[in-house]
Amino acid sequence: MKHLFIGLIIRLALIFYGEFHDQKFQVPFTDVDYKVFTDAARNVLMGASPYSRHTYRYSPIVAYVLTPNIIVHQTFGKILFSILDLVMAYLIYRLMLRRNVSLRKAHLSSLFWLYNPLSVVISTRGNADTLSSLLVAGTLLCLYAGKPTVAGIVHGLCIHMRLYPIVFSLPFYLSLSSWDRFSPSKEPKKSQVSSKSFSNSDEVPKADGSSWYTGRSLFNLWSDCKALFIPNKSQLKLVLGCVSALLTVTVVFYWLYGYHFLYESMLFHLSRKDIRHNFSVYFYLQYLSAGAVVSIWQRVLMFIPQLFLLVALSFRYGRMFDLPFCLLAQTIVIVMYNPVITSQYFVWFLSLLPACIPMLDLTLKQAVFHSVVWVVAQLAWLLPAYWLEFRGEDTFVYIWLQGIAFFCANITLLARLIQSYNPKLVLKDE
Amino acid sequence: MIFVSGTRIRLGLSQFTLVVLLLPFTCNAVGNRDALQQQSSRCGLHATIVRQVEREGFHRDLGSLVELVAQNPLEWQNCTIALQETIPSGLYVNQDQLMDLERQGTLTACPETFVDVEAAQWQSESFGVLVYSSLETAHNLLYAHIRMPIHLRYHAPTDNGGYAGVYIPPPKLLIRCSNEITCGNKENYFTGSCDGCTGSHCSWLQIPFGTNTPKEGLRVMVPVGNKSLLPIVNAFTFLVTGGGCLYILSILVSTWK
Repeated sequence: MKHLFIGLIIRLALIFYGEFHDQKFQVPFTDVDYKVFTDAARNVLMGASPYSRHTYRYSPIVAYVLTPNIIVHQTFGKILFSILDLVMAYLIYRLMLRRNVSLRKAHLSSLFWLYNPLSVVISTRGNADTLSSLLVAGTLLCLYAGKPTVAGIVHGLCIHMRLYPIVFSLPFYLSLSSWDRFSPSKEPKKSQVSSKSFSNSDEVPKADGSSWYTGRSLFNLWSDCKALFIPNKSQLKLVLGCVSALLTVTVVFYWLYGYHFLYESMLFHLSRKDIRHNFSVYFYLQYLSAGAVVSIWQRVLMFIPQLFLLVALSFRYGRMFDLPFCLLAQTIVIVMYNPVITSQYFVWFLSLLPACIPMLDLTLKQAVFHSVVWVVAQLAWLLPAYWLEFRGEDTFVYIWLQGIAFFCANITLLARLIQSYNPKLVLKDE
Repeated sequence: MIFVSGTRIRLGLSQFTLVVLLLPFTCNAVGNRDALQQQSSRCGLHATIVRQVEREGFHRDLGSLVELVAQNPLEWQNCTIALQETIPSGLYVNQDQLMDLERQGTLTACPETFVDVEAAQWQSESFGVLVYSSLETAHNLLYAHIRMPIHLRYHAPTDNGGYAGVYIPPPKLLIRCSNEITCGNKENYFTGSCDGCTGSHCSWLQIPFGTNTPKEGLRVMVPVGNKSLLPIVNAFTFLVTGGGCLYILSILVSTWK
């Protein structure tokens, strides 16, 4: 409770500073999208569509929630996002306890989110992505609580808020699979997680004690295939919950705002191609090919590595216990292979990191080293980007090279995370 | 570095005025020049506009110091001026930013059309913006200092990269007073919004002015990509992204349990 209070005070102080900073400096503290939300909220109050604000590409819910930005004060949204940050810290704590992590480690994980300078800065700059991070954490909690229907509904809403969690659908689905590999018997040993927590037990075949990849008969192979491709009751509940929630909100908002809503909040994100400088490794390639016809092989080369990695990670870490790590690894892949990356995307995986930290076999020195490399790679990109955007110098090549360096930093980080992931770690000190 | 022709120095108001006196003005040929000149002497008004682009990079300010020397300043005290700017395809103004500035009471400027702030130069067209300002008075001098934020669009990459030039043409200077202006020629009166982006329409009189802006307009330089690098960029980027994918897959296989 004390920490929640301190966390809130830090955030409020930063929001106050942000107001001062924006008046004094050329590069504003407030996120550029925060102004977009505020303008959309103003439109909603005037009875207009939030999408009449050019570049508003979010769910109308964000505009509704932020109407007090106009009625009360422009910092309302930032305070709300900061409070959601505190809720997120609590959800992380609950999530860790659900996975039978010790109280101390659960506490430390939530503090990692609460006092993380990046999460503090992101929410106080007025970034709404904490909302979707909360929904992702909510989906996980529902799955752990053995409520696949509710998990599906929350997941559907999450996809509505932000499109990227759609890739989590495969690991969520697999985690409920009756396939031997994903059954609770394959959870880390000494697991004290209650059977209720993984309540797909009615569909789960009895564990035969053998390792999944050794000496399987043809019959086992057949039953594995059946378990993989024919959905069980829990999986059906998850899918139905997700599809019905997503369809409902989509139909309601389509009815209210028409094709404009569908295009701006969904279709745009699927076809997004921005030639202006950003963190993406593909930035300069896209800019230089702008205006020309993009060849099929270029599209394929941009899409295939991401697809391979997402599917491989789903099957490798699709077990219920591994889900947070699976989501973290997948999010890193989505972000680093995205054709457009802005700093707000980093909040996507930062919010999943605290739930995985206790399972990482890293010394403090190693963790600090990798964090520093990642941050330095970002700062190194910011330098030529600043010279281009605010000084008008031709630094495109340097931005591209720094984009490559940042991509490599992300690859190294992901590789190190995979190598150091050891779920048994948290069970040793129980 | 400031890539703006004309003066390179940011000017305060007094320095600005000094430059007004010293600069060899080129008279701006807007519309029927002779008719405008005759009208100008009939109205007893001599107008000058000192223009410069302030700040560097993709986000800049278009500064205009408008000065009117009036034979009878009392006659023009309750007047408002408007600059009818033509924003070339290489630039844009952000409508939402302008609305914020209007709410703050800093600037009133209205684009005449919807402005796509994300489009590149080759996907855009030039458009008009009406910028309004009241006039300050100092003896027989009426003046207004207008600063409008403008942003550069991304330009198409060229064979050798470097910089492309964007030219901001001189504006039209319009004036409107609470009392009726009778000295103007009929053809120089325009009908436009009185003092904001919406609302009633008023009659505006176009007046000629001298300016430091070259005929082709104020030049702003924008960096552009180097197309000759495309094969290298293509090869190296896909090498890195493909290599990264294979590396992660190999790590997944080596840690598979």
